[in-house]
Amino acid sequence: MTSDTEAINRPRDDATMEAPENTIRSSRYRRIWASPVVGVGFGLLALIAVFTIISPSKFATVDNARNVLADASVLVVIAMPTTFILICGELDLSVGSIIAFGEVIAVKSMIAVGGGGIGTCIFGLLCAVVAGGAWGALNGFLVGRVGLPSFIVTLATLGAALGAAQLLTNGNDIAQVPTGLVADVGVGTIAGISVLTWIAAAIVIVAIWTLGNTRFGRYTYATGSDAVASERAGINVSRHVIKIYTLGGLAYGLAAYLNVARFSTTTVGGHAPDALNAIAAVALGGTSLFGGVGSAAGSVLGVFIPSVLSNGLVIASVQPYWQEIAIAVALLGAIYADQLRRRTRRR
Amino acid sequence: MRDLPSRSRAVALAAVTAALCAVAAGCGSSSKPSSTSGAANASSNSGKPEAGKTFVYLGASNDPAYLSIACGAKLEATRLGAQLTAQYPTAFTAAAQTPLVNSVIAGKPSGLIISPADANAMYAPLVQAKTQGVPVVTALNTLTKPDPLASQVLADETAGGAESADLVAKHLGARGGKVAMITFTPGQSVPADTRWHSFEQEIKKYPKIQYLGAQFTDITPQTATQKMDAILARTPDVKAVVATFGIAGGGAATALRQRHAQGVYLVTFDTRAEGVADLKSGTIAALIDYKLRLLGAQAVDQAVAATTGKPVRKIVELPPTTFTKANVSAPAYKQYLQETPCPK
Repeated sequence: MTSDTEAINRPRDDATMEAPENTIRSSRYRRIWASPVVGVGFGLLALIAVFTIISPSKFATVDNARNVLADASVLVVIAMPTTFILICGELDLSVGSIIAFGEVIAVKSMIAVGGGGIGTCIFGLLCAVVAGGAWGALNGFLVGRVGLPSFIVTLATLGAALGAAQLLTNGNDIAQVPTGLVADVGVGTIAGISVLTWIAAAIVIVAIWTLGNTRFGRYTYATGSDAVASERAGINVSRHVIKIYTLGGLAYGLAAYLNVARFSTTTVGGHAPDALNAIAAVALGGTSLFGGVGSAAGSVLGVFIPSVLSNGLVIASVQPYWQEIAIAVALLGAIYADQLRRRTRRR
Repeated sequence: MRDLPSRSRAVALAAVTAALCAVAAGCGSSSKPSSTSGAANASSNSGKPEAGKTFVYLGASNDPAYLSIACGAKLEATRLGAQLTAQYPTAFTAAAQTPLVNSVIAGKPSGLIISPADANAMYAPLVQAKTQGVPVVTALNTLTKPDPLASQVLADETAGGAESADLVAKHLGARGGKVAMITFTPGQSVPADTRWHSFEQEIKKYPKIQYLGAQFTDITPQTATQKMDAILARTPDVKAVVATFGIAGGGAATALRQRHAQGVYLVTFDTRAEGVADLKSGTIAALIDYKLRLLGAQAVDQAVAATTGKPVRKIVELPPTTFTKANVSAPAYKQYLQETPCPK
């Protein structure tokens, strides 16, 4: 981290209090080169290199890369709004339940319209995104406007959204997903690469651009590093928090829709680990859990480190009991290396 | 942000981590307690001794397996002129189920049918039920020490695991081939562990089959897809895969679809909706499950016997049933699919 962005992370720093926007803007280019993204990126490359040496004919194939990308795509989509929320200094634990709810709404709405045509599929997408956005807006309102701690608010909506999803399904998953949606989006490819991967890539580009180049992105960093200072600097913090959660909800709705397309069913009971996986990936990618620091590109790399490890360890025929331990060691190692790098930079 | 200083935020993160892990380990959770009332008209068979008896079933609201048991139990109770109420805890854990057991006992029902959330932790509450004079029948899950129980109505998971190995062996025939397995992280699901160990015992009987070992997955289909992808990348000539629970099977089927892989014989447990769809489309070759409505009905029968002084079978074990594309649409099989809605 450069000294400038470090300054943002220190709440009582004078420079931040006076002119947060300029500080962030001037540091943008240095942030690209000196950010933790570079460290995590090297970690990922090292992993890929190790597995390529161990099993070149099986791990390092175009086919395997394509599948690893496709498998990680939905988590990448989830990790983008989670990055914004963490940078903003908040938490979102309700991700998994919002996704479960979005899945149910997507499938139910497509069944209600009937038919398996493109119109039905787009209607399902819109319903899922709106449903996710509604939960996000509720989270945002309670956190930003009412001023409740995001931890408690999203813990509550974690329960409420899951309960609502179960109310709508009576606890049974629904598998009546249009076959065209599964074939074209869920397992479809464009230029040999999964449609899911293309969609995730588009979301990533939007997230990186928004964080780095827009006022919205600067407000996100500023709010996360010091909400009081941001408020005094003229940022409508509560409105910004509402926006962030609402956009997050919309993205979770999209993720729900992609899950339905991929697995051709709702999986109401299968999303409990989503929030943790997303937060872990974002943290691994160098975003501070205390807000103010982070990057979307880092989060993408943070998603891929565990998924490449998991893939490579199976291919290397590592005993499954060791896989969990190996993943844990690698995660701790990556975080520790990042800490070391920051410490040396600070001197 | 504004409300939590950094220290308490870290503590909060740790706390929610623990909470989420508990939720995941308990196979998901339902967020609100819900109850479904049983048959309202319980008076038609008033001559029989079981008429007017009231039973309670305690299961989990978010798992179609327990909902199927509740359905079968309710239908059987109605048939006998008795009444059955299903209650679901907020999470499928001993901590959430115990207070529910206590409040059920306080209501003095004729009998309690329960799928215990924990084989050890639910022992004390169920001893309590017995001493209060409420006979207890376990359904599908049971206790490690069964002494407080009037009867245990279970699924023969060992036979199910063996069945999955036999199906694979029969499909591969004399030529044999490489076979992989995907199961739940060990020690967290008794059925998945039993199926897995039983499969490994049975598959040894077939010398032509090269067993590649098990990969462990969690409650999300994504992880199973990742594991299946890695298995296919490592062993492109894998001939058959067995998944020990429905979500793992769905994830594995997604990996096969994604690769447009042909000729991998996939056997899965549980007749969840997406499993049945994959069975019909041919991605999954066979689903193994138990007639859970029958299991629920038999649990009611044993509970009724216990309350009316008739002979009780201490253990009832249901054999596995294999569902294939050929039989899945036949009414005799279809009624036992977990996804089939319960007749009102």
